[in-house]
Amino acid sequence: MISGSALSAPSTAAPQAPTLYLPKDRRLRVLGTHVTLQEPLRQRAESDLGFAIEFAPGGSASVLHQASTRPESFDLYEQWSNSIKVLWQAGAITGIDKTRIRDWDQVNALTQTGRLTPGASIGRGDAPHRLLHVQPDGTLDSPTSDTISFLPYVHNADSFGYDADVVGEGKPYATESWGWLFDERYRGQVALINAPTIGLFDAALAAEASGVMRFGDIGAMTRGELDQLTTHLIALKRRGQFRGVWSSVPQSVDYMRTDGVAVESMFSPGASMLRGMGTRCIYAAPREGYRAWHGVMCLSAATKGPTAELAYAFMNWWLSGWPGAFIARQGYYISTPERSREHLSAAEWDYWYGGKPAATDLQNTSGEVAVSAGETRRGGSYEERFAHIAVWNTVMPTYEYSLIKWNEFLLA
Amino acid sequence: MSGTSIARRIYFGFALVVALAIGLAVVGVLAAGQASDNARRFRELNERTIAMLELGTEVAELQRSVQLFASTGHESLATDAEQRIKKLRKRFDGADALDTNADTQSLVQRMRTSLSNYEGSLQTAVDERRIRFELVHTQVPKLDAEIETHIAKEETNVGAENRWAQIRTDSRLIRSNLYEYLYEPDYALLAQSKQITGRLSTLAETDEERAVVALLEDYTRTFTRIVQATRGYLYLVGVVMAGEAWEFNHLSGRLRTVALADVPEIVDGMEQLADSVRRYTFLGAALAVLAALVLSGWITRSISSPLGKLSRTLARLAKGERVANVPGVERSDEVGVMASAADAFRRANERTESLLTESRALALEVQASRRDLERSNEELEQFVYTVSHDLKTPLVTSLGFIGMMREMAAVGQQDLALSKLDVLERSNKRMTRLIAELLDLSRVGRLDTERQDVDAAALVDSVIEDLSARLTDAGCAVVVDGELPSVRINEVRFRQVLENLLTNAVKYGRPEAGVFEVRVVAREAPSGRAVICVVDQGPGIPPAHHERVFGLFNRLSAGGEGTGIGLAIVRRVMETSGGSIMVESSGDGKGCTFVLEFERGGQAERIDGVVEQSG
Repeated sequence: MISGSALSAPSTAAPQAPTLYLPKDRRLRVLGTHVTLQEPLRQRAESDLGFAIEFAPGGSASVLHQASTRPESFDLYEQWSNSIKVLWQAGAITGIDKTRIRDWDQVNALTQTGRLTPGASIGRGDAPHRLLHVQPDGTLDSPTSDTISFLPYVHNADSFGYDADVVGEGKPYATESWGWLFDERYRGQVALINAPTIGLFDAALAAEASGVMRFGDIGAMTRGELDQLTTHLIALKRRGQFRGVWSSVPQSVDYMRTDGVAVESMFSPGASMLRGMGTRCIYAAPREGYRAWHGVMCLSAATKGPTAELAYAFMNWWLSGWPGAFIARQGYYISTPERSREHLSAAEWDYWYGGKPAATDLQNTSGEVAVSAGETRRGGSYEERFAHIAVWNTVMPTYEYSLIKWNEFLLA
Repeated sequence: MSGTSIARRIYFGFALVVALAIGLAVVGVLAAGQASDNARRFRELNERTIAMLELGTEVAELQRSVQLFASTGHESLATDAEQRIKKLRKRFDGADALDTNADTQSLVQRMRTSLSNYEGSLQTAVDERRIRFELVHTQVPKLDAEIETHIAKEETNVGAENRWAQIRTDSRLIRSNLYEYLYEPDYALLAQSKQITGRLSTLAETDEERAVVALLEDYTRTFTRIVQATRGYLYLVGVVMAGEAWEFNHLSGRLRTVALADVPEIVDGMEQLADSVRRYTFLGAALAVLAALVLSGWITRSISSPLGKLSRTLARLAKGERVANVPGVERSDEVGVMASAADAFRRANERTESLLTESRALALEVQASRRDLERSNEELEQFVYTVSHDLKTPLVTSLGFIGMMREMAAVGQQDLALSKLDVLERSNKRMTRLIAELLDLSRVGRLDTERQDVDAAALVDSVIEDLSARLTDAGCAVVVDGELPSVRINEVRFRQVLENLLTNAVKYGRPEAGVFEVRVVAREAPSGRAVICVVDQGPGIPPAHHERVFGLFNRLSAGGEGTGIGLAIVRRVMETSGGSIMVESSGDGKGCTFVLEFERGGQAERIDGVVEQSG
């Protein structure tokens, strides 16, 4: 695939792969979080693409700040869709030429319409289709254009994790509820993610589930609603409801494994890691619906020329199949699932996407058995899970105010 | 234990008590050491807890400085925050030295990480705050001035009043949006400014208008950067650093909890130690007292009791009492040695007593011997007197007759003198017989002393046969009445006794006239000895003479042919043969009975308590 200083796209690419003229320093810098910046992916990408790739994973908050203020420090940025507005508004990222995305026709409806199946709830807040296309006026919205603000790829329906040995095992979509975060029974055993664009929604869903308050639009909270929610959070904090807030997946794992947390905002890998360590962590299917997120791969506004070519090659690689199969084994979905299906066994596909009982023991990306035969993914199939979306991670119009209120909560 | 010496027992007792005392001392020393350790741990804990508390305070102060800096942008507050972070790092180094506990180290490590994140974010936040400060205080006033200059210059342009009016209005709105944002951040203000700028760029027609719009676009970009910087430091300070501060405070609290968690253990340990020391000291003291009491009692009992018994025994021995045994001789200790000595004393006492008894017996024997000797002397005197008297009589008679015969021969009366020879001869014969019987008496007890079982009946028959001529001449019939026993005696001497008694009966036991009989009869004796009686029919012997008849030369009648030696021989024979003789008679003419008592023949005889079979 590599010829002299030229690099062609993988063989599974579209028939006419462009020839890439690589810079002398063939290095692609990817900034993001541990969710997708995993060493096996980097090695495989380097092997497949033939150029050096540098991953710079960090905490969500710090990498977002770095990306929004220093676009010259990265070429590609990987995070979730709620970061798009911050970055786009900051001018830290630039549009992506959709026509250069080889498998764009394979990208499923979720990203483009907000729902996988007719009649499924789209969910409040920054659903990906509302941010995807760059409009002529420079805003981001759903009407189709040739320029997109991010490459749609990894996504998931998140909720909270709970220690079944402490809480007891609930029933998906029936008894499992966001309200547990505010439940007095778990006083001192609750943690939230330290990101207002995520944690606030967990708190808001918990507030609604526990009947404390109702929101006009949970994806676009008003200042009054933020005041009320913050007041309640502070009251809970002062009553000792929260163990703390976490900033990274390993920290969330430590919270439940060693710090006595029983219910917390969580990402899917955290729950998997805990189960691998012997903690009966259940990744809940809340009856109020999930807090969904969509991974976004953004092109730095500072990345031009040959390095941008490397960035496009890397983006195409991500949708080509193998990476989607890799992250499927960690519980994530990819926007081109049919391409990844070719790299998954039938049992894997049926379990991870089909919501069917595992026909055999299934291994995770480390080669360990992560799913025992007969086990069924909590929340059901891909379609079913994304039919229960309550809200998407969102940067609300009241973003600055939410930062101030969140700060009040943290300092209280 | 009586096998253990008293000295060892005393040493053992002292050693035990001393061991208990040493044990108590060791307990005390160990307890003091433990108490000292606890106190040291407590002091370290205190220092640690204070350090942790100070950590929490420092973090609170740090967060306050950072918040103030975020709010005001004053550099001094940023410097203050940086210095506080350095102080905190030093405190962590101190915390490392204070506690090597793994949990604490882990928490300190997490706090260090948290502080490091905090510090990194602080630097970025400070940079962003400075950028905003620079933009707001340098760039924005400069742009404001340029825009105002351009707008002022074009105020007089004819035909462009409406566009300029719009530009002026929008310019003011864009700039007021920025200042409003600085007062209260809201992205909607920037969005509106961007929208206005976009609209103006399409509106501008002249170079001047485009220059102003370009300045406004520049202004909006600056506004965007200000929003970016504001969001940046708000996010860093308000979210990232505040989260780290929360985590830091939580970890600090846990550190305090971990540190204080040791307090109850140490306090409990100290209380338990005090309890233990009190209990063990009391127990040890009680044990020591008890051991001392028991040991002293034991030693006293094992020493004084046997000594008391021994001393009482010695007192009794001193009094001369007979003591069967001395207590404590079986012991191998000092008391046993003393008891053995006392036992030797007791045995010496017993020997002395035995010797005294023997001495007394010997004295009695000597006394008896003396009396026997005196009696013998008397008898000897009597004997000498009697012998000299009885021997003198025939000698005097003979000498008288010899004188008479000499005188008669001198006067020529030879015939007459010869006729006196018969008298002379009888006197000499009598003297001869006296001498012969005396010799015989002297042989009794010296010759023919061997004793044997003798059939009395056969021997009586033999004697009767030997004396039959004389008995017949005297008209005496000897009747053996009943079955005579076997007796143990020298047969020759027994024969002599029977001959003397029967001869004596013929001489003195016959009635005044006619034939008579002498009976030999056996008699039962309560002692079980053999008794044979010789009974005559003579005049009898008055009781006053019963002993006298056995004396030498004693005859109850003056006439007769007896020498007065026969019964003396009989008694000497019986006595030297272990038997006896006595006489029973009233002396009133009803005869008399000589009672002979023998050792029964054919039976075991006792010699010194040992049974021997005779014969």
